[in-house]
Order: sequence, then structure tokens, then C-alpha cells
Amino acid sequence: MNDGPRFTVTVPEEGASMDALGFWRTVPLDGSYAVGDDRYDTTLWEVDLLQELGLSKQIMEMELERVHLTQHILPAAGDLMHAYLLNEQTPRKMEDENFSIPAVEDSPALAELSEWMMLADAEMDFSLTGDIEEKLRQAASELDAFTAQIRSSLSQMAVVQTTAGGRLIGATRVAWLGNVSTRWQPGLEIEQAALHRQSVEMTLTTRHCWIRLAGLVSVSATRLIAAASSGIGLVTALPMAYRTITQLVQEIRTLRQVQSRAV
Amino acid sequence: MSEELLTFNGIDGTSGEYLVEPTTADEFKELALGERFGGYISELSDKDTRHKEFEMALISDVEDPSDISQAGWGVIFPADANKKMVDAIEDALGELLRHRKATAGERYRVYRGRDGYREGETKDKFLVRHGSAPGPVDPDVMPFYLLIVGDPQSVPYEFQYELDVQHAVGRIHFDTLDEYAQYARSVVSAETGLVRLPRQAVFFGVTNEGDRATEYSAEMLIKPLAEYIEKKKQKLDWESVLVPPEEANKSKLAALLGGDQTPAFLFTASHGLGFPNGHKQQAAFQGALLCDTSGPIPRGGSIARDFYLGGEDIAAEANLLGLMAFHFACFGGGTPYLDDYAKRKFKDPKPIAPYAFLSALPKRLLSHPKGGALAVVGHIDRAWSYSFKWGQAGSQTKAMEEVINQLFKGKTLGEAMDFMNLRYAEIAVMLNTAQSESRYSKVDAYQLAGLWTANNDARGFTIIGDPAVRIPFASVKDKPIERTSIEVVSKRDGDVPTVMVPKSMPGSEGTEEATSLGTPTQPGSRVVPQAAAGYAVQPQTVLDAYIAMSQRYEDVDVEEFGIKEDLAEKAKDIYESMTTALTKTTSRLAKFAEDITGMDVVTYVSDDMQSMDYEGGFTEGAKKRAFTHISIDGDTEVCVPMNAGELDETLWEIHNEMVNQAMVNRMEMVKAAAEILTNLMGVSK
Repeated sequence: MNDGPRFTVTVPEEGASMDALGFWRTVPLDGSYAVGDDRYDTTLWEVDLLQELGLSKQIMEMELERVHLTQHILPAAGDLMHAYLLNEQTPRKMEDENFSIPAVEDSPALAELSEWMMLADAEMDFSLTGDIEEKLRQAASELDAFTAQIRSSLSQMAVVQTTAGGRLIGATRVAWLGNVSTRWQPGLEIEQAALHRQSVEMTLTTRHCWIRLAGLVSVSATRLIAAASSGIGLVTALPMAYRTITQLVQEIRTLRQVQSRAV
Repeated sequence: MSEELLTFNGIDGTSGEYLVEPTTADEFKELALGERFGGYISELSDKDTRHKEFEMALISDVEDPSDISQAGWGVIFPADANKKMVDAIEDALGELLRHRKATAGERYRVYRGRDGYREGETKDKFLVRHGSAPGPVDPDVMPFYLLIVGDPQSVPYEFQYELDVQHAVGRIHFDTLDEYAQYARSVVSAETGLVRLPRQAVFFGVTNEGDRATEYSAEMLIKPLAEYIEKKKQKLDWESVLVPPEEANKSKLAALLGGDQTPAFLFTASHGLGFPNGHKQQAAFQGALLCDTSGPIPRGGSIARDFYLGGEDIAAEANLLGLMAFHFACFGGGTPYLDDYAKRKFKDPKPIAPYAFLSALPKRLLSHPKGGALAVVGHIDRAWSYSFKWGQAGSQTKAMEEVINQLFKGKTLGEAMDFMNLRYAEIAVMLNTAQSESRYSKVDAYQLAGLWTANNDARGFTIIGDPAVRIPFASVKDKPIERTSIEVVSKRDGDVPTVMVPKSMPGSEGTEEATSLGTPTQPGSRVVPQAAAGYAVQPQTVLDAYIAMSQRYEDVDVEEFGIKEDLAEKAKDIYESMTTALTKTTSRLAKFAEDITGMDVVTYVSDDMQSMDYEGGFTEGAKKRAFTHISIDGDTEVCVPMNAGELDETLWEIHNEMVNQAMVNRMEMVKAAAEILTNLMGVSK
């Protein structure tokens, strides 16, 4: 079938092996292959749904909403971090968006960043305290995993396959330039087909999000270096930026959940 | 006022006409008066004075400037060049760098990253930044020998000229890593005894029928130089061979450049070819040497290939190991971006090439895989007969004689070339004085024009190659060791961009002329990729922006605050991985923008879903039922699925859903590309 990179959506399971934005689980493969290996032309994205059509539909819609929301949140998270680095007020609530962003002073992610920067800016001989060092170490590991994932996801072909109750209902091959070929089971019902189309949508939206996140982390790291008066170099700025951005995305998502419940 | 016309070397390869028509001195008077030296003249004056009055040493407290252990040796990269690329070049040059370091010891330097040449930097700023200043070189502070590794767009020729006044400066810039490695191996092989050449110098002067410029260069440059060596035969013990003008054709020159007649030292004088800005042959043949044309230079059409020798004419089996060559020819060394002649009548300088570049011929000579030349002295821009003909005084070749004399005594090329630099300093001071006098009294146009052209000409001779090389000739007592091929350099995949620092491309500053240059002909070479015109996202710019942003990273001190070594190592690995990911992303986005033409959406059905092969046989055993092609201009072709003579509506709906999804995907990809571009451009400013 496929020897290359493989991502599996695992709903609603979350854990350390999840991708940066919490949608896909990276599947380790046998042999010498490792995620991030650039040898493969095809990346397999598997969506394994339940046999019950209605429940699977609910799950997919929920996941799709989450991934689309994240797509919109990402630039806002970048803006928020940038505003913080420029010592500006929180960017105003974006009226056209269906989410709010936290005030700078209310953001744990920015508070942590502030702590980092204060340590870095202190013109004295010091070492990182255990807690900060541990967080930096964790951020570095997560960023490491993310860069491997994004490198894999940029293969020439993305193949998305959807199974429901163990039965393969559709497979789509998407070339980098956008050509799409889909293979269906004959006599497929329109609702089943819709599930697979949603799998494709989720895959491609995730890929766009990852690309945006990678760009955002790079840019934010550069801004962080520029904003710090001393002490912060590239090798720490990248994990710090990654951690801050992904945490801000999570904070904004959580804030929206709270607001949704309030409504 | 003299009405004598000034003549210039250089022939337009597309028409056979002169690159610069013979011109009256009056026209050049204005140009000469407009020459600006700035503070730089004081140093030229200083050099001139010190030489004339005090005979001061080139380098303080150094008895023998040709001794690298005393004089020091260093290499300069453009500061903004991509770090990985510089790493790769440094690695490819490894043999040479280790060889020089072993000799120069503490006086060995590598100027790269933040220590490298910074865009827009003058020689003075560069020196000051490194604790040095104009005047005799202190090799403890900065080495006397400096090798620039980079294209002249990223490290400008002007910087090289200025630095060369006190230091010995050379330059290399090749298209592939292999060529760097081959050049390094050639130099090290020549300096470690692989070759000990017979003491023979060949002087090759072309005389094109009815052409005053080459008549002058053959009679007043080539012939006197050959005679000078002949006269000094007793003392120098070098054989001088003058190629008769009727034999100065392409096949003879090819035999001298890598063929069975290749000497230890070759001096040529000829027209160099020039091409219109951006012409497809400009990269490959600008500066190619025009040989005997069996009659007058043909006009009214392209010059036939049989008449000129360029880089691609150097045979694969050629062997040039140990050769040192001088090419007196327009563009023989390289081409600047702007045309100095456009300054005439104070017009804005116009580009004569999409970007400054080194000529293909010296690059090929130096990087030949069987064994390359050690250095070529060539002219940047156009060459003038003022180099060797000084008004009514006639032939004046003393400086060049001295250069050759020094080389034949075993001195380094960099030290020997100081005689040319002294001549330049003297002429520059004379021109500056004449300019000053012109404010108060009438000046002779012919004299001013002569000074101006001589000044530019003297300045334009540059070393392509390591300035610390010397000719590996056999001693009088020993038997020569003939050329043999150097050991094959193991393959080093990788191209080097035509312009190493993309933001230094004239086009990136909005210059319209900076488009494509004809593809150079050396193996593996390439031109700078061009933006996809008219498309929302320009891939070249995305990549440029990313590179610029990465370079900002590199400017940041990597001395991190208090992090433990293992974590720092891990973070560095992540940075490498991140760089790869982003490079891959941007190249994918670039490919997306470059190759996007249309989009196909195809729907298949298959009874056997389990056995498909995603890598190669995705459609095997499946039946194509629907197809949609959307072209870039929006035209759409569709094939609809039929079932028993009727539209299969279910499948058609499913297919259309996938079409919509594909369109959204493409739009989102464009948005992602634009977003990355906007962000990267923002921080790279």
C-alpha cells in the first residue's frame, strides 16, 4: 500500500503524539523510516470512522469546525504575539471573526514568554531555572516533531483514505499542484461520499495550517530576537516562538469554547 | 586641442561592430572631470607618495610579502550569503583552505557571516570593522592576501579595487561546488610538487585586419613584452615565444589553453566580445577572446564561433595545471552591472548586464577537472589602449614588465600585481590633480581623457583566483615535471547561485533591466530563477524573503543564555530541521506558482478498493467515470458519468463536491503562500 509517512486522525483522542494543532496522530512505521524522512513521494492520511453513519458525521463536522477555526486563529495568534513584543495593546477583537483573543495580561502563554525574555534580558551571569529549562526542553521536542511532520506532509502526493467500520469507502490522491483523483466503491451513498470529502477537506486544511504555522513560527522567532535586547539567539527563539504560538492557539480555542457555552 | 580619436578594444558579438565607437577626446573630458574618488583618493595618493619617496614596504615588518607565513592569508565571503551555501563552499574549498592555514598559521582568517563583506560596505568600513585602517598592511590584524569568494554582485568589483590598493586581492566564483573543489585541488597540487613547468612564456597578440585597436595591442604591448623577456633571458632564464599575428587564430589559442602547447605563462591581447544586456549568449561569451578573423572583422551580423574562444571551447581533456594567464581584452575578467560610459555627459549609468559577473573563460580555466589554471588576470569592463600607450610617449609597458619579472622570479601574483596597483595609484593622483586644476584653468581634453581612461584601465585589471599563487616553474637545475591530471574530485552535488545574495540583485531593487541572462554553458551552472510574471505570488521573492530572514537569524549571536549544552545542540538540530522544512515549503510554493497551469479532477470507481497502490497504480483496475479540467483562465472541460444512457446523478454530485474541494484547496494554497510571503517580507526588510 504505502511505505511512506502516515498520519491518522484519532477522534477524540489527544496526547503527546498528536500534531501541533491536535488533529492527527503520527503513525510510526517499521523499518528505517522516520517521520521527516524526505524519501517518500506520498503521504498517507487515514481517517478511520465508526460504522454508524450519523455518529461519524457528527465527529467529522466537529473536527472540521475545529480545524477551520484554527486556520483563522493562527494569524490572530501571530498578531497577538507580535503586539506583545511591540509592547502594544491587545489587538482589537476582529469583528468578522467568530472568536475573541485574550488580553495580553490574561494570556499564560505571553506571561511565560515574558518570564523567558526577562531572564534573557538580564545582563548577568545566570542559568535557566529548572522549570523554564524543562519547558524549553519540551518546546524543543515538540517543535522537532512538528518540523518532521511538516517535512513529511510536503510530499508530492497526499493520499487520503476514509474507512468506516473498517471498510474503505474512498481514497483520494491530491498532487501538490492540486490535481485530484478519487477512487470510490461503486454504489456508494451520497452521505458516505460526503464523509470522505470531509476527510479530504480536513487533510488539506490541516496541511495549510501547518504551512502557516511553520511560517509564523519562523517570523515570530525573528521578531522575538529583534525585540529582546540581548541573550536570545536563534536556537532558543524558535522553540519559544513555537510554544507561544501553539499555546496562544489553544488559549483562543478555549476562550471560544467558554464563550460558546456561555451563549 | 587634439582631434585624434581614442580607440577601444571590444567587439559586439551580435554585429561585429565596435562596442565603443572611436571617440574624440572632448567627449571624454566631461567624463574625466566627472570621476569621483571620494576619500579613497587619499589612500591612492598615500600609496603613490610612499612608493616614490620612501619606498615603504607593502606590509609592515614583513621582509618578503610572497611568504604567506609572514603576510597572512584570508578568505572573504559575502556576509548575507546563505549559511548552508557558505558551509558547502568552504567545505568544497577545504583542501586549499587547510593548505593556506597550515602556512599562514595565526595569520589565517575566514571572514564570513557577520565578519564577511556586508552589502553596501566600503573598503574603509570593512577595514575599520576588523580593526584595520588604510596604510601598510598589518598582517596580525588583517592578512595581506585576501581571496574574495563570491560573485561581483554580492561583493562588488569596486570593493575589490579599493581593497586591492594595499592588499593583494583575488576573487573566485564558480557555478558548482565541484568547480570550487577542483580549483582548490589544482592550487594545492601545483604547490605541492605535482607539476614543475618548463620556464616558457607565450605572447599571443591578435591583429585583426584594418583594426587600429589590435594593431596597437599587438605592436605596443605584446611585442615589447615578448622582447623584454627575450632580453632578460640571461638573467631570468625564461624562454619567450611570440606567436606571429598570422597564427593568432582560435585553434592556436586552444592549443595554448589546455592543449599540447600550454605554457607556464600566457599573455594574450585581443578584442573581447561584448553582448547586449541580457542577450542569451552574454553569460557564456562576454569576454570571449576574438582571434584572427581571416580578414577584417566581419560586420553586420553575429561573429562566427570559429573566430572567438570562450569557456566552453576549453576541451574536456585539456590540462591547464599551473598555468597563469593574462588576458588583455574587454570583459576578459568580468562585467560590471553598470556601464561607466553612460556617465558621459552625466547621464544616469545604464546596466550593461542583468548583474555583474565573472567571465566564463577564466572560470572554466581555473576549475578544469583535469587540472586548472592557478589564476587569470583579466580586465573588468572595457579595456583601453591607454594601458600600454601613453600619448606621444608611445608604448609604455613598464608596469606589466615588472609584474612578469616578479612572477618569473617566483613571487606571488598578488605581490607582483602591486606594480599595476602603483601605476593605478599614480594615474589616479594625476587625474585628481587635473580635475582640481580644471576648476581654475583650461585643461587639455586629450590629457584628461587619457588620464581617465588610463585610470579606469589600470584599476580594472583584477586577479581571478587566489592572489597568493605563484607559477610552479622548474628551477634552472631541475628537470621539469610535466602536467598530469589532478586526482578526480569526488562528486559534490550542488549549484551555487549566479548571485549569492539575492537581495543584491539589481532587479530586487526595482531595476527593470534585471531579467534573465543566457544560461552559462559550464556543466551544472544555472541562472537565478526568475519570478513567475503576473502571478500573485512570486516564488523567487518568497525564496529571497526566506533567505533574507534566515540571514537575519545568522546575524544574531548564537551565544545563548545559560542553556545546557545538550539542549543547545538539540535546538540547533531543530533549527536545521526547521530550515529544511521551510526551504521545502517555499520551494513547493515556488513550484506551485511556477507550474500552475490547470487542474484536473478525476473520479474513478472500482470494485476492488483494497488492492490499489498509492505510489504508482492508483488507477489500476479502476474505471474513469467523471473528469473535470479547469484551465488557468477559467475555461472548464467536463466529462459527465452516464449510467444506462442517463446521467449518474449521484456520482456526478460526488464528483462536483470533489471539484469544489480541489478549487478551495488551490485558493487556500495561494493564500498560504501569500501569507508566508507577506510575513517573511515584513521581517526581512
